[in-house]
Amino acid sequence: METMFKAVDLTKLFPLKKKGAFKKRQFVHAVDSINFEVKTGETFGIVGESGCGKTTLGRLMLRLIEPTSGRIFFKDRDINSLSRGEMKKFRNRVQIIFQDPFSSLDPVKNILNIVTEPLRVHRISKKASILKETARETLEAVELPTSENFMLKRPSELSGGERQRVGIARAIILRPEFIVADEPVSMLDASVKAEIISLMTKLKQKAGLTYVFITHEMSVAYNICDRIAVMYAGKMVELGSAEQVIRAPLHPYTRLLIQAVPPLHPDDKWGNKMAEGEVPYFTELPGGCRFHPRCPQVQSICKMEEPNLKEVASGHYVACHKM
Amino acid sequence: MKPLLTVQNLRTYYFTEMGVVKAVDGVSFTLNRGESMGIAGESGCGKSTIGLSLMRLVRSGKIVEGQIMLDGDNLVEISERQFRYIRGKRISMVNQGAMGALNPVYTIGDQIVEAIMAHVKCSGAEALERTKELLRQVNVNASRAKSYPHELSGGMRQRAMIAMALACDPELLIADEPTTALDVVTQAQVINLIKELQTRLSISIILISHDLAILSQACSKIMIMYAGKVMELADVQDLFREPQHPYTKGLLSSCTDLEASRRTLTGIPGKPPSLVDPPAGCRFHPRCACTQTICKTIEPTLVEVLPRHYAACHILGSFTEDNCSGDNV
Repeated sequence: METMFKAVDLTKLFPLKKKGAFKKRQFVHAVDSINFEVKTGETFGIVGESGCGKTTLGRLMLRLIEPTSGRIFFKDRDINSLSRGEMKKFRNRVQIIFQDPFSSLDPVKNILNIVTEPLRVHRISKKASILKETARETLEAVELPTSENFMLKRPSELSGGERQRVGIARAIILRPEFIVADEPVSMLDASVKAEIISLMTKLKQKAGLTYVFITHEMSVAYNICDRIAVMYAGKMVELGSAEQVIRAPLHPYTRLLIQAVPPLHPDDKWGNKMAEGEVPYFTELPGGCRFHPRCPQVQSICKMEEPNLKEVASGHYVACHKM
Repeated sequence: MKPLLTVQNLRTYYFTEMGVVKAVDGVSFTLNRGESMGIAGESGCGKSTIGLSLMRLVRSGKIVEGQIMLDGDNLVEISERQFRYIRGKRISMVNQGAMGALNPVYTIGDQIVEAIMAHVKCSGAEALERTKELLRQVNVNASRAKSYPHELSGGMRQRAMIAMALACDPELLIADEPTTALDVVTQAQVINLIKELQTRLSISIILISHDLAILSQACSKIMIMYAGKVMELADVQDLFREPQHPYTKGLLSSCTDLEASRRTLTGIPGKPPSLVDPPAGCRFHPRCACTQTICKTIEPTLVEVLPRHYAACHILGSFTEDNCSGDNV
């Protein structure tokens, strides 16, 4: 398969306010020298708890923020060295779907304006008839009503699921090749969630899209993703096919995440061995492996040396000294 | 055994400019001592309003009909003054956003002490002692009593809220989406804490959540709600093994599950109805795959279809997913 995205030593640090005039400035290591590739046509999942850097990684891929160091390639071009004109073309081909369908839609615009805004921004057309026709096609693709009446509604008149569909319509109207979906279903009810997931799968098949699917829900990632990357404290700790990562997890953190997911059917044994501890706030990172203070299998080497991502089986990468 | 809580034909309506919102419309259930019940349903089905009705904290709406009997006392009829001895003492509640529920300018110790001294006659020192004990009970270091809410992580704040709710040894604890804002690992810890406290302190718990997986792990019986009505009520094992109502089946097939193999999620087409003007007949009929003519006119009542397994549906037993060929299909 062709490579669509490739990240090389990608790093993003966010500076914090200095605690005092003579204190050293601290940084949040949101994304810390990460290497990976996204293949054309796949759904690449990024999972992890809040603050692990998954959203930052998604934003770096769209150049919504600039990396501190490292490079990121879209089809062999470094996206951070594109000219203005090239950047505009790049923006045409990549899109994002946001988590919150309530705050990501402009409340004073109607659905038609929201959905067709990308066409106007990219100067594809200004003609009302063309805009409307494209909007109609796109709304149909996301299984929303295409009536005049619906297009003149405002976001506040729609349900959460409908709003998220509008968000998806806006993302696909330019017919992009690549979409970053940042927690697109985490604010929705179960029945709506299932519908949005199947809609996204359908759109992918129809339009040959490539997704980066960011989520904190392991079960959602397992359901929709071809490959899954697990992040912890700005590092990728495990990467492999969905089956490999969920059915045969190797990193202790991945195992912890999977254990923490309550199974749908009642199970008395679930959660009896749940580990204590929470994700620390990473300004001062622990030396060695970042997970070592919470790891049940910690060894002395884990406190000294940071493990690298190594391929342990075909396509299955883990960053752990135990491997 | 006499139940601790008996709710009968509870109707809680909100009076808005749009009309009367029938958020809870004729809900009945009982809860025994030491039992934990889960209330599940989509947003806007009235599950939180049940919790608020039990606490008598319904704002801009009121309980228009029904009885809430807590161990012989009708909570709907007693005066607000009397209810103060019940709220926080005999029934207490844990809310979703722990940050919003805690006062940011007081330490969590001060806030728990306040909760104790509101109900129990004791000195400040005694209350502080009890506070530390409560914090230890929810696995928070007692020295954290001196911390302000912003100094704690989300999980710890939620634990502090639970400690506060347990301050006066309540008989009934209502937890409304207690883990929604938390990360998976923290969520698992908090659910386990609730489970553990329930067995150790043998209190009754009502857990309200949209996440069936959480309820299946933490509750002994489950009530499924839709548009202000109870659709199904059963022991947790029975409900997951043999769901009866088409809505329950729809919900279960919408859930992602790590244990099961990867499958296509079906979801439930359509959206919940307006509670101002709910559909006639069965409220679920516009979205149901098995709708018959009777469903559109006559409202089904909750009947015992299997031992201790109740469901409100006209076509129970007479259909399976395969032979379902209702008017909507």
